[in-house]
Amino acid sequence: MNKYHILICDDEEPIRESLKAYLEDSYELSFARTGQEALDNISNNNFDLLIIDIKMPGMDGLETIRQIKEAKPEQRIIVLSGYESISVAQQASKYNITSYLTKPVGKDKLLKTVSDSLK
Amino acid sequence: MENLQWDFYNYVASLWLTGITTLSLGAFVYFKNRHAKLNRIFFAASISMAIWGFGQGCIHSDYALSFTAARVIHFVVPFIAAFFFHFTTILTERPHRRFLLFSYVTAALFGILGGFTKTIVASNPSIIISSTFTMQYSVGPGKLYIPYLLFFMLVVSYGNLILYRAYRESSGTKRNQLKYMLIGSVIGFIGGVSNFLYVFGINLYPLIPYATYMVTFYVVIATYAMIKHRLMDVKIALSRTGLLILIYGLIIYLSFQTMVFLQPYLQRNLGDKWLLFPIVMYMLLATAAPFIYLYAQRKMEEKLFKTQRKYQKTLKQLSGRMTRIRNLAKLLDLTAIQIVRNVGLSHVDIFLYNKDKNRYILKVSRGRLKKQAGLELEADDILIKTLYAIKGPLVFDEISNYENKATKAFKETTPCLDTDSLKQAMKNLEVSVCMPGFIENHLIGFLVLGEKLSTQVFTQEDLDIFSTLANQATLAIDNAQSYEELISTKDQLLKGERLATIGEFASEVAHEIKNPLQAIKTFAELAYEKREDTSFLKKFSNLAKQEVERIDNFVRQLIKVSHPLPPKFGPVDVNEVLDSVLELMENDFSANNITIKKEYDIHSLRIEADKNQLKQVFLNLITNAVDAVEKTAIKVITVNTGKSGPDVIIRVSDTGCGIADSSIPHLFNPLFTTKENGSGLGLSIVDTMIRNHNGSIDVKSSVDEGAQKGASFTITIPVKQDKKL
Repeated sequence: MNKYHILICDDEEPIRESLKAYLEDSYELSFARTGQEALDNISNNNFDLLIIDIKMPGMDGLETIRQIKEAKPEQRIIVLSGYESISVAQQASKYNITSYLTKPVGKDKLLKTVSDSLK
Repeated sequence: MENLQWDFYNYVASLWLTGITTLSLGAFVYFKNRHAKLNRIFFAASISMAIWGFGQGCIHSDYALSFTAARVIHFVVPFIAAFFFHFTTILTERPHRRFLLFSYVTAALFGILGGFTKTIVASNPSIIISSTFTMQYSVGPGKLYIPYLLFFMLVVSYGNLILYRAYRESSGTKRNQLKYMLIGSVIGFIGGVSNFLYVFGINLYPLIPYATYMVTFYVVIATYAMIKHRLMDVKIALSRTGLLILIYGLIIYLSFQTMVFLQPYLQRNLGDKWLLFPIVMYMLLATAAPFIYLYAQRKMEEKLFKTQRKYQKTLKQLSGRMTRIRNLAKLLDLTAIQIVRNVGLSHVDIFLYNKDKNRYILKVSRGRLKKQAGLELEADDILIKTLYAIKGPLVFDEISNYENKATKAFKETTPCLDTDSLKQAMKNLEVSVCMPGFIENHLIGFLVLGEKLSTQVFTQEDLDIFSTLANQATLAIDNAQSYEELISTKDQLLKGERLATIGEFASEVAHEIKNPLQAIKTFAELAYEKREDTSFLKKFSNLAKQEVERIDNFVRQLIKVSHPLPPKFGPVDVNEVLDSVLELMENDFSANNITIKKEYDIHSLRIEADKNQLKQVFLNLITNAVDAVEKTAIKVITVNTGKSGPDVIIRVSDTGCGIADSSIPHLFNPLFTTKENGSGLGLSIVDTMIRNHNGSIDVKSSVDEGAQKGASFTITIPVKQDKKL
């Protein structure tokens, strides 16, 4: 059985490493450090899911999501952010994202959200 | 009474009046500015006209006198035409060099013929003008009289044509000047030329003795148009002159008539002393005349300048209202709109000085020809320099005058005024009048006035009103500007607090902490599960440690940032600082019907302190007091200051709801608040700042109904600060 392919986009190494630690056993993973890298990756490959941060240097998460949705409206996206605030979540949900998680996220919640998103 | 030779008297009087007025006004114009070519030529024309007037007035009953006078005036008359033509070319700035040369050469030729030969004045026949007036020796035309007259008419008409063309092409006040000049010269020359007619035996009584008065009319208009065309509306000039002549004429005439009519009756009753009666009457009338004149002038001008008086009144009222407006934008807008609407101007712009840019920036522009906001002028722009130099209204049509009669100060500051570039600069901005606003010799701004839509001129009265308005506006703008600076200080002071209240700050703080928490959480959660995976353990034990340090560092920085900057001590008057805070909160007080009681120490309380931090302290305390009295019936805030040994004591008390006993211990803790929308930082900031000043703060409060109800904060600050701090 082919594993689902997930792209993880975050500028911080500890976050990427954490997600890798949680998800590497069940999924095939790729990584991007900036919004632009994520865009490039997605336009060249098909990913079943994108997990992306909001606050990143350069192009921020919201803008990256907007551009990805423009090119691939069906792309499933989970936002993982340090912001608790409703307004950021609202802005993200405007782009029809699949789910919204806040840092620090735990194993169970992450795995459940990911698998729900891929259904 | 039939032997009263009215026509004769008027013949002589009109000519002598022409002589006197042309000579005196010509001299007046000349001495007003003897370097200006226009004025010199005007004087030359006036002299020749005066010679004609006096000369013509001599032609009547004495043969020798009439003969000489006829020769003299016919020598002079061609030059009147040439000088007049020359005058128009200078006034209109249209040099017609060839025609000018032709007119001077021909004038000289005809002058010689007229003065020394029989080709122009051939004889001195007797001519009947009216039943009571016969000129015994007048002028009989010679062979060349018709070409002589045609030359005169040609040159004068061409001069008037040039005036007319220039009038058509000009605009604004120049157009007005030329219009009046044109009307004046046409009327004047009709009057003058009428005197040529009797030479051909044409009798147009009463035109012949009486039309000559029209020449005087021309000279008066021309003089006003030249000297004061800008500062005095010709309407005023004419009405005043006319009125003066009318009233004095009437008085002289009345006395004269009374004397004639009542002579037999008076002689019978008073004997030899009968003359006393008309003399006394004349004296009485003459004394009353100035009052009658002033009264009539006021009444007439009220009628003539109804609209002008109306807007002048409105603007005067506006001047009075101005200083009470504190909102700068509103003030500027109101000023510009009121002027545009009431005076009927094409546009009004207000420029204000900007310290940071060292430029004058267009703040508001109103009217049909309004400009784009944000236009800027360099501080060394020629317009600005000129305003600094003349320190008064700058009138476009008077630029040439500034050049000529430049004041000493003007010449010193602007040794070579480049009038062309000044004209260009004013044209670019479409300036008719520029009113500067000075405060202590510093130009804080200026008012640009466009043309009147009616194309009427700006009168001296207008300029006076605008000066008052500009002065008031300057004060008001200065007021409003310092008020706005105060408000922006208030904003800055509140900013630190506001950041936290908005929640943005907290959200940023959370974000910065939650990110590093991720790796720590992952490590904690998976450490047992992945205990065999040494690479995971190694990597995450490092990451977790690293991220804990990151949080630690961030929190340290946060604490540093939230602490206010170290105070900058300087001499500060506590009462003054309190006053400034009370002033900027005045709106809060009046909006909530709060009474402020100031109980200051009678001496000024000068201490060593950080003025801004003190302001912040007082602002926070008084803001709390305002909030506290919000829902109570009695709304009084009392501010006491006083000295106690080496310390200064400041107390802010209110009659508000008071503070619950349970709250008092936490009052100065950061984030502790009893207000619905409070940040919990206000009093903690006060506490920190007071401690920065080596002072202390104490609170007393009662929540019980009664005289004691309310809260009272007492601050103690040492007058002198320890230098080590």
